[in-house]
Amino acid sequence: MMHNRDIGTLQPDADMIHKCRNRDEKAFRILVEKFQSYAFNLAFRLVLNEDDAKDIIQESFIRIWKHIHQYDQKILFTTWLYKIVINLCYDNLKSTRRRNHMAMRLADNQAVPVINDNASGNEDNKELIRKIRKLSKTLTLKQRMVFILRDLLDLPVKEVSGILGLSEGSVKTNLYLARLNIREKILVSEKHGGS
Amino acid sequence: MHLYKDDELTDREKTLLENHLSNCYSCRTLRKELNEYKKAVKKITDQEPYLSDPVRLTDKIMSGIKPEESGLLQNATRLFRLTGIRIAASVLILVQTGLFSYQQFYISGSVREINQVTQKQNTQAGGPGSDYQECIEESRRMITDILGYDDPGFNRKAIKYSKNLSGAEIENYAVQICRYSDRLQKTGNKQQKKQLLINILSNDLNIKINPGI
Repeated sequence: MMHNRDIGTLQPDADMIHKCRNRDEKAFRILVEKFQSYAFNLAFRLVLNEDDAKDIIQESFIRIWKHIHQYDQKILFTTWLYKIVINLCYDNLKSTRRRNHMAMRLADNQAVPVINDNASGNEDNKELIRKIRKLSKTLTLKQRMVFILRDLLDLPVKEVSGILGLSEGSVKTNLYLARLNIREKILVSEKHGGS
Repeated sequence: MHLYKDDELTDREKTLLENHLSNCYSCRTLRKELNEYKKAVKKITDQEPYLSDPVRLTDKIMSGIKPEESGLLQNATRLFRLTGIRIAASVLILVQTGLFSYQQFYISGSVREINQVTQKQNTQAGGPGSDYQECIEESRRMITDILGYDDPGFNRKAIKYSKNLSGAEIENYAVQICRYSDRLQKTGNKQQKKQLLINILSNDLNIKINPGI
């Protein structure tokens, strides 16, 4: 498993960023190869769709290539990358929710897209989607993002705060509410003899 | 309590919490719930989403950054192409304008020349006057009177329909018709004048008059 806690040691060095800024495609390819799986991990858990997650990753790295000169090296590269991925995921979820609004009959604050069980894709991924959906389907979008970044990707609260542009207090509050919601769901599931 | 899950408690805080838990049922229940939560989350975190064909994704990303450069090239090419088209269009317009101006100059020059000749001839022949407009008017009047078509624009129409000519050419013919006014005036009756005019138009000026117009 990729440990996001260790991601700090994987940050690209100044030389690689410098090369990318000078439009060195070889250096950029190394950067993509190194971080695309981390970005996919986040995007997939948020949008719960393999193809959408890949499109988001592609768009994210294209944006990074275009705006690499704006990257502030004082912050972690992954914080910047995740921020871009999160923004694109957010747009994707909003448009998906809008598209499927009538069919899904979503609650006002429901943030999890409908899963097409017949959708093509890897079986393990489908199983993972079902697990995440089961736990987080009644979370608000903000709670879901905090839950995924903090508890599923194991990122420190400070980095979650930086990625989402929320105060650390707000991150902790949303995390508390997300965990409470999920715990209640587990309890209900246990009472009904579910797994 | 949630700090417990986060492993963010100091050793002293952990000892205090353990002591508290041994005496508090509700907090023990909460810890149990937190452990269940940890297990549920672990089921998800233990399973990585499977990224099929990462090399293909990398290739797609790398090809996705190319259009920026080729886009610039395309834009540049497009700009040059557009510029080329604009230059060609401008040249064409200039040439056409030049040709048109030349034609206008040539035609008006010809008309002026004819007019001058006509004026000279008319003056010599004691015709209807030296003014160009008067000459045109005389031509129209003759056609109207002699041919019996009570239409001020007849000569223009007749010539235009029969020859499909431009305005400048019609004026030219009108001027030439005017030249025959002296002969027409000296001719006897109206019928003879009419026949003479038709002969002049069709034979001398090669203008086929359609009386039905």
